[in-house]
Amino acid sequence: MSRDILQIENLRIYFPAESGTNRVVDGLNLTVSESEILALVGGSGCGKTITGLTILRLQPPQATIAGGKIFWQGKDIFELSENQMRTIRGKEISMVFQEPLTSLNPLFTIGFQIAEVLKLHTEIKQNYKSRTIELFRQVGISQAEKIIDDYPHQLSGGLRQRVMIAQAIAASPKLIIADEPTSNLDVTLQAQILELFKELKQRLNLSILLITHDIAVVSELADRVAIIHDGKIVEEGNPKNIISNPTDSYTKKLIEAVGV
Amino acid sequence: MNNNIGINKSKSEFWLSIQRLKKNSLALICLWIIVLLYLGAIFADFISPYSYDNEARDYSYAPPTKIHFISPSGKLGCPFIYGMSSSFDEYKRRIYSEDKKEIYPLKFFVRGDKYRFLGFIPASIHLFGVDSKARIFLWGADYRGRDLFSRVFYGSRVSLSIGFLGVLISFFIGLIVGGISGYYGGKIDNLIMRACEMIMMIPGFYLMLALRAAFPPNLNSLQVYILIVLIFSFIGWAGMARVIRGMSISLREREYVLAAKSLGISDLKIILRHILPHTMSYTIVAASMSIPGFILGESGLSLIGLGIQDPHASWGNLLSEAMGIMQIKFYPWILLPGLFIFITVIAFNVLGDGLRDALDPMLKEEGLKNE
Repeated sequence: MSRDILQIENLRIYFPAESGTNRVVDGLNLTVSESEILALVGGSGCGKTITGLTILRLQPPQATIAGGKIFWQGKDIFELSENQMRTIRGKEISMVFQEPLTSLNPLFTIGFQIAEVLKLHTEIKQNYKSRTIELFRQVGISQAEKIIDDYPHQLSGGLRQRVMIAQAIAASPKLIIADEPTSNLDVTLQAQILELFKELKQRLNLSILLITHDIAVVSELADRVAIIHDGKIVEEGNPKNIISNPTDSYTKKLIEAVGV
Repeated sequence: MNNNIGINKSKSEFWLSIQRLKKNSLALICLWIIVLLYLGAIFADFISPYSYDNEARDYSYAPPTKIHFISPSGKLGCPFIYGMSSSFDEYKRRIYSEDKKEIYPLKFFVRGDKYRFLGFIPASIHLFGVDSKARIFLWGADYRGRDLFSRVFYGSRVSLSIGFLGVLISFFIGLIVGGISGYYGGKIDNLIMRACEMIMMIPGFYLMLALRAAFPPNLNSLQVYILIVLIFSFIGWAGMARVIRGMSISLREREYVLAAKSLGISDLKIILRHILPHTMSYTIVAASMSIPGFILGESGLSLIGLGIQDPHASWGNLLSEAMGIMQIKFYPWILLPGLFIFITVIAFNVLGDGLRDALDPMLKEEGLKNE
C-alpha cells in the first residue's frame, strides 16, 4: 500500500446561521494516499468545497473549525503558522478552481502569472519563460509560445483551465485539490481535462483530490470515490463497486440522477 | 482596423484605453494644454525674459508692452518695442506712454539674468528679450515693476508641482492604507476608517489653515512649499483610502484572489498585484480630478499670505495683488494668474472625464443608454 499523505480526522466546520449553527461539515474522515485520484462526490451544499478550502486553511472567515484535525504529511495544519501555511500552499498542495474565467487575474499576462508562482516556490530564478512553455506543453497546450504573452480574456475557457492547471503544477506539488474543475466546460472539454488529470497523475506522481457533483465523470478516472452527504462521508471505495453496488441510499440517488 | 487580430501582439487593457482616449479630442486638447503648462513650468527660466525677483520700480504697474512690426517709417520689419516714459497723474499714479524715439528690437536667445537650467546647468540665455535699457512686459508688470509673464511661469512651478506632489503622496498613502483596510477587514478596518472620518470631518480649508497656523509663520518659501505638500497629503489621503477600501472589500472576494492565496502568495503581494491594480482606472481618474483641488488649495493659502512668500511666485500669491478693486480696475492684467488657474483646473477636470470614459467604457455606454 502507498503512504497516506493527507488525513482528515473527524473534521467539523460550522457556520453561524439564523438559528444556532449550520453544521456544514460534521465529522468528516478522509485520507488521500500518494499518487491516487480520490473523488469527493456530493450534491450542492454538502460541504465538499469548504473541505477543500479548509485543507489549505482558506476557509471563509465566518467559518469556525469546531473540531477535528487535518494532517498533511504528519503535520497538523491547524497548528502551523500562517507563514508555514504559505509555504505549503502552491508548493505542496495547490488548487484548481471551478471558474477558469475568473480565477486568473485579468490585468496580467498568463506568462507573468505562472512566473509569479515559479518565482515564489521554485529554484528557478530566471528564464521563467522556458519553464512556463514546458509547463504548458505538459498540460496539453500546443501553441504555448503564442499564448504566453496573452491576457486571460484572449483565451478560451478550456485553454484557461489548462493554464490554471499549469499554474497549479508549476511548483511540482504533491497534491492538487481540483474543485469542480470541469463543471463550467462543455462535455468534450470535460473529457479532455479529466484525461489530462489522469495523465499528470501518472507522469508527475501526483495525488489529486477531485471534488465534483457528477459521479459519472469520476467512474473512469478515480482510484477511489468518497460520497459526502450532509458533511459526512457516507460511502467510500472503488468507483466501479460503488456504482454497480451502492449501499447508501444517498449514493443510490446520486447514481440514479445521472443514470449511469 | 485590421482583421488579423489573432496575429497581432497582445493588447493590454491599458493600450486599449489609450486608443479610446485618442478618439476623445476634447480630452486630448486638455492633455496638450496640461503638457504645455508643465513644459512652461520646467523651462520657466528660459522662456521668461527676467528672473522672478528682477524688479524695476520705475515700471510699477507698467501695462503690457505692445510689440510693433511696422517701423515709424512705415516699413514692415522685425518686431520691436518702443521705450516707455512715465509721468504721474493727479492721483500719483504712473501713466505710461510709448516713447517713439527709442526703438528696441525684440531679440531672441539673448543673454539676461543668470539661472540654472533644469536646476543645475548654469545658463543665462533667454528665449527673448530686449536691450537692458528697455524692459519688455508681455503681460504687464506688478506693483514692484516685475514682469508678470516671467512670474506667471515661475509661479506655475509651485502651483503645478504642488498639485502633482500632493496627489502623488496622498494617493500613495490612500492606496496602501485603503487596500490594507479593505483586504483585512475587521478591527484594522474599523480603526483605519474611524481615523479617516476624523480627518474628513473637519472642513478641508479650515484644517489646512489650522495646520499651517501650527507652524511658525516665518518659514522660507522652500519650507512652506514642503509644509503645504505635507499638509495636503495629510488631508487628502483619507477620502482616497475610503474609496479604495470599499473597492478592495469587493475585490478581495474575486476568485483570482482566492486562487492567489491558494498558491501561497503573501498578503502584501496580493494587495499590490491582485487588488490595487484593479482600482487603477478609478485612481487615475480621481488623481486627475483632485489635482485642481490641490492647486486651488495652494492658491487659497498663498492668496491670504499663508503660503508661498514674496518674492517667490505662485499663482496664488500673484493673485493676492489683485485683491483690491482699484488694482483690478486700473491694472486688469494682474488677474492673469487667475486665468491660468482657471485653465488648469478646467483642463484637469475635462481630462479626468475623458480618462474615465477611456478607462471604463462600460460606464460610458451605460451613460449613453440613460440619456
